[in-house]
Amino acid sequence: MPAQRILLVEDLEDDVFFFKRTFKRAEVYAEIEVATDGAKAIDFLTRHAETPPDVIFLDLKLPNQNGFEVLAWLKQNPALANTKVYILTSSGEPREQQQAKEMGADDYFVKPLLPEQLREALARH
Amino acid sequence: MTEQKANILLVDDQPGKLIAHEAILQELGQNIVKATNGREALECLLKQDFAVILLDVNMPGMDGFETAELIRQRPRFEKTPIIFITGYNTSDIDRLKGYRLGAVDYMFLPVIAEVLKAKVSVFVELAQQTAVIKKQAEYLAFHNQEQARKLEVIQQLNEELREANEQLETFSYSVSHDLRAPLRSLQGFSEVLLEDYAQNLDEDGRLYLDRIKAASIQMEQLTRDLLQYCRIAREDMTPQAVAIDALLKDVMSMNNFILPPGGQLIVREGLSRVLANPTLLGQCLSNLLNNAFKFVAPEVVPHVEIWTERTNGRVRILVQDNGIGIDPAHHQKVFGIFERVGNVKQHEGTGIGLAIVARAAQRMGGHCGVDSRLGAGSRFWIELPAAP
Repeated sequence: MPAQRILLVEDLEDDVFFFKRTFKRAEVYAEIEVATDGAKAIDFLTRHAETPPDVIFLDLKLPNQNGFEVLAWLKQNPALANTKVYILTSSGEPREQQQAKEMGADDYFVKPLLPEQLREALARH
Repeated sequence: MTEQKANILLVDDQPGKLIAHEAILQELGQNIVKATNGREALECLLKQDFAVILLDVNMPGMDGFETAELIRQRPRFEKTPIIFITGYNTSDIDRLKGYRLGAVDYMFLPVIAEVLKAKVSVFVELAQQTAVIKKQAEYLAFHNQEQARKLEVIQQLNEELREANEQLETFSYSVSHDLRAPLRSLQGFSEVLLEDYAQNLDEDGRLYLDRIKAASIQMEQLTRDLLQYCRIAREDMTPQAVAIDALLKDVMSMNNFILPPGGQLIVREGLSRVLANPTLLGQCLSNLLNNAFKFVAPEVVPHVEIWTERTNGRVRILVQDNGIGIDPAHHQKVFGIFERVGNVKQHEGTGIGLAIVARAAQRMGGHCGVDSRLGAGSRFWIELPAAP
């Protein structure tokens, strides 16, 4: 499997660290780009519209713009039609899971992401 | 409502006639007031209402007609029935005048006792009925007012409840997102240290690190369970028909439920359907199964069985284990929040799982309980309305 291109939208430094470590532990090699808020994610995706990432991991609680707002933008962007969007958040609230599902998120993970969950999620792409 | 005595006013300048008429009317058992002239009659009227006025036409000074005219001028007495009593041949013209002044009837002297009684009793009854209706109207008005006041109180309480719920929502959001982030860091970095740097620590150092990790895991579980407990109050309670076997499959896959080695879960065939909130019931079953597999003596292979029993429109879901059992003295206690019984060191827990089961069962219109003895396994049950 060629290295996948991944965008992580995450504002917490520690969580970025754990996310990258999960890749190491799962022995999955990927190019990981990090956007620390929604605006930066949208900016990155706009600049790389020609070469969108394979998978986006999106936190729900972000500064300025929350994850749902970013999710709405992602889902109406035709350039990202083939990009999987996974929610990766602190909260296991069923209501938030339900809302993410209804808005078109491909899956929902509660942090921390486990190596086996990561392998399984990437295999779906 | 008890009937009040009606007032009857007798107006006559001749005391003898007054006494005679009073004697006849006494049998009606009402309150009789006497006046010997028009002025006195008006004074009496100022003090109280009358069911009927018996008015002598022929009186010195102000006669009956003049008195009637003055009575009628007051709106309060516009409708008070007046019976004129007249002693001599009254002309048709006079009688017409009387009717114009509002007389409802005429009686000629000498009065016939039975006729007087009959006529007066009609008006007494009318007055009593009017009084009853008036009282009912007042009662209704009061009741309506009371109702409106109660409605206001309910609306205010609803508003307060909505606010409290909003605060709970904010609190839960903050706990589930903000409070868990530093916890995750604690847990995550203690894991990193244990995995990558354990060799640089001596035995004590590793032990302390293990303790940090265990404490952060415990706190993570506590916040998760508390959030679930809070969520029960906010769940939409519209009941749905739930198939328990399908729900169990979801529970097992969603929670990454891992059976202990050799452990057995037997779900009997033909489970009844219940009316419930699937999220909450799933939570309950998950907690009961977790306990069933957790509270087992070390040398025992856990064996858990689930089935339903149906009685009188209710379904009892039973979870039987072969675990350590619970002393009957603690059966009520185990459903309280933060309550843990038995050897708490040996089995990890937050003491919230069964409180969630009890509260969720109650919110779904059911209840729960346990049959168990120490060393004889436990049979936990949830009883819910059966699905039609």
